[in-house]
This record gives sequence, structure tokens and C-alpha cells, in this order.
Amino acid sequence: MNKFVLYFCLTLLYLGLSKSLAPTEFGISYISNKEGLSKLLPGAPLSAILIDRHSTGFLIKTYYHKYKIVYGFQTFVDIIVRTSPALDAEFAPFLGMSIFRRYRNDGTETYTPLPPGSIFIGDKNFGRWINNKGKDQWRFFRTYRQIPVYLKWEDYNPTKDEFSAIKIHESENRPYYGKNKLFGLDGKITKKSFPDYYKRTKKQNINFKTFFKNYLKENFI
Amino acid sequence: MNEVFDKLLIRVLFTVFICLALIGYKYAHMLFHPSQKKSINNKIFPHDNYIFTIHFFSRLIGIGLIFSAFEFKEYLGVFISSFHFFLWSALGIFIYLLSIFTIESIIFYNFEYKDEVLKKNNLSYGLISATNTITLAFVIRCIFKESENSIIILTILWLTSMVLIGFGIKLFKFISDFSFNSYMIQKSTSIGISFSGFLIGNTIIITTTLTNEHYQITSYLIQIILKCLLSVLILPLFRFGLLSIFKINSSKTLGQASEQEKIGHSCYECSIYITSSLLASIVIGQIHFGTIYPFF
Repeated sequence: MNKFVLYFCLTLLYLGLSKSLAPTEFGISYISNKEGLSKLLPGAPLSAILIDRHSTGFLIKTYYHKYKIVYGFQTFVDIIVRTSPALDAEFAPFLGMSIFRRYRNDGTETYTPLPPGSIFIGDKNFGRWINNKGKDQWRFFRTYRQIPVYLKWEDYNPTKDEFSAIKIHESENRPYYGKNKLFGLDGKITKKSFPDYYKRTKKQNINFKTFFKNYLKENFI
Repeated sequence: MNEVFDKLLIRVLFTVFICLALIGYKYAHMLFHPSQKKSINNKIFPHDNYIFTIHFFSRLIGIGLIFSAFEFKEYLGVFISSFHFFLWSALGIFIYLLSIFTIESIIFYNFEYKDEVLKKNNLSYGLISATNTITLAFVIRCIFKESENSIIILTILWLTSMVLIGFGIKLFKFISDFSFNSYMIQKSTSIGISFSGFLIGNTIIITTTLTNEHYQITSYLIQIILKCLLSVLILPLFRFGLLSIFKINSSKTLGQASEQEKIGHSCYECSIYITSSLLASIVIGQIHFGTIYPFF
């Protein structure tokens, strides 16, 4: 019995030491819920866009998210955080979308998944509405012309109707994927903007004949 | 053709140089082990005392192992490469002999070389001493390779390995059914076999833990400690697995056993420990997880 207790204690010691001394524990933050993003990200106005997801491990998975933090008055930064499995599952459909934003005026924070950079749309500090063929479309000022590039908008031109829809969804705390589902996991623009993610997660058809042929070629010849 | 002759000549010169280094080893050995001064200074007759033969020639194997860790970089110049070899081999000899002295003081703290080898002809003493010197040579060789010509890293690694080996030796009483002191006094060969297996097993584990990629000494030492701890967890599992798979029954009490039975038991302990250590070394050092940092 004593041997089992000793073995159990040694296992705990190993796990404890490994956790506290492992390089992954340094320099990478952990967020268990979406409110964790708020503590992690200072400054305003900002928009946190989920740009990639990744998991490591065989039986016990560790989940990582990559966010692009687009600020109003400074350049963007990319951050990688560890997340809980629940949060990963919750955010999975919102790839390429703004998950968190903080407004400049009153520091209001919202977590409704919206098209990337929706915080900047309608803000007169960053741009203005211009009339194009009878439709009011948002244009950034020349100073902020890089913001749509950072946001990977591609050919997305938000209109006033879309802006209204964004505001309604935000007030009702309902995700908004854009008109005709442009953003999110199945969004056309997201697929175009983040091809690496889709390439990586694409299920590969394993042909055993080809597999063995390649294996023998690589390892024995 | 000239080039070929030149290269051969250089090789012969380096061979002579290594032999000269061996003379250095001989005198350094007498410095560390004054009790063996007489037997080393006189002519050696291997057939006279086979315990002495085992004891002495194991050290020669050890020093050969240490020297095999060094390189001659002739392209840097014959003088510089010889000087480099001389300096590092001298350091190797010094560290090796100091290690033997330290570890033998731990293992044989109740026994004297003169009594056990020259008077009593204790085979167990000879076996354990021989295994200890050869296994230490493997560890020192590994340290020299890992230190990559850095004296600071060499010192740290040497001290760490000495602590690990010393600590490992103290675990023998928890692993073996043999009582070291009483069986050594009885001159039972079984303790020699069992303890030798234990030393070989420990060396396999220690050399595996030392063989890591290292960029920073602190994280490297952390990895060594973690791997040692992991080996303590994995090794009993393999031992249990081996005993269960091959249905080995080792429950006989050694007190009433004959010498033959004791030797059989010691062979079982020796082989199981070495096999478990080798298998554990796969789990400790040969599973590569790739990068742990998210690379996306």
C-alpha cells in the first residue's frame, strides 16, 4: 500500500513540476471564458478578431486561439492564447469574426460575434458614408485606409442597412455573419482570407496503397 | 599520394600522442588511488590475481571510453588540435578519476581495496568496481559530448550527474532483495551481479536524461530532473510488465537459498533492471513530440 501512495505522490510531483517548469507555461495566457479577453487586452477602440484555431495533444487536447487585435490609432497585433475546450467549441463558428470589442467613448465592451471591424463602421472619427448608386457605403478616411486591409475585408463594402443590422444584433446579443453569410466558419470572405486554416483542417482521404508505397519509398529505399 | 602519406603520418603521430596521454593517466591514477601505487608501478601479471585484473583492466576500458569522446581537428593545425586534445583529455582524466573516487567512496564506504582485492580476493568487489568504472566512463563521455567544449556546462553537468548517480546508488536497498553489506562480507558473487545490473541500468537512465538539446542551462537542468523523475515513474511499470508477461516468480527467501540459487536470483534482478531501464529510456528520451508551441 505504501508503495502505491509513494508512486501516486511521485506522479503528482512530476505533474506539478512539469506544469510549473514547462516552457508553454511562460509567455502564453490562458482564457477560460470570453470575459478573459477583456482582461488581456488594454486600450480602446479595439476589435479582437478570431483568425485561427488550433489544438494539440492526442487524448487530452490543448486548445489555442489566434486573435488579431485591430486598434483604431495604432497598428494591429497578433496574439495566441490557450483556451478552454468549452470556449473553443463556442467560438468555432465565428472564425474570421470580431469576438470582442471595446468602444472608445465610454469604454463599453461587447462580446457579440460580428463582422470584423464593425466597431469602426459608423464612427465618424474613422470614415464617412458615401453615396454609391443610391446606396450609402462606408469609406475609411485616407489616414485609416489600412484598417480594411488589416481586417481582411476583401471586397466587403458595408452599407447603412448592414450597419443597422449590426447594431440590432449587437443590442440583442445575437451573432451577425454579414449579409449572405460573408463571415464565420462558412463565410465566403473568411474562406478567402484564411485559406491556411481550411487547408489544415480539410479531411484527407487515406489511400493505404499509396500510403505504404510512399512509406516504403521514404524509409527503406 | 603525398597527401595520403601525410594523413597516415598524422594519424600515427596522434596515436603516439594518445599513448603519451595514457602515461599521464597512469600517474594521475596513482595520485588519486595511492593504495594501488605499488601494483600499478610494478609489472602486471594478469593471471596472478584475477580480481585485480578485472579491477585494473576495467579502468583501462574506462579511460579508452573517455578518450574516444575527444576529437582532433587537424584542419585547425596540428599544434592547436594536439593542445586541445591534451587539455581536454587531462581534464577528462581528472574528472573521471575524481568521479571513481567519489562514487567508490559511496559504494564501498565499509570496504577497503587492499583487503577485498589483494587479501580476500572478493569477486563481488571486483565486479562492482569494474562495472562502476565502465559505467562512470560512459556518463563522463556523455557529459563531455553534451558540454560542447564549455567548462562551465561541464562542471554543472558533472556535479548534477554525480548527485544523480549517488542518489541512485542509495536506492539499491529499495529495489533489490540483497543486503549489500552482508553479501559483500560473505563474498557472494550474487551481490556483484545484481549491483552491476543496477549500476548499468542507472547509467542507461542517466545518459538518456543527459542527452537533450540544450540552448539554456537552466531549462536543460530542469529537463534532466524531470526526466529522472519520469524514469522513476516509468521504470517500475516496465518491471511489473516484464514480471507479469513472463510469469516470473521471485518470492523465494534468500536467507535459506544456496549460492547457486542466489546467483540465479541476482541474474534475474540484473537482467530485469537493465531491460526495464532500456525500455524506460525509450519512453523518456525517444518519444519526440515535435514543437510544443502552437505554430499556426
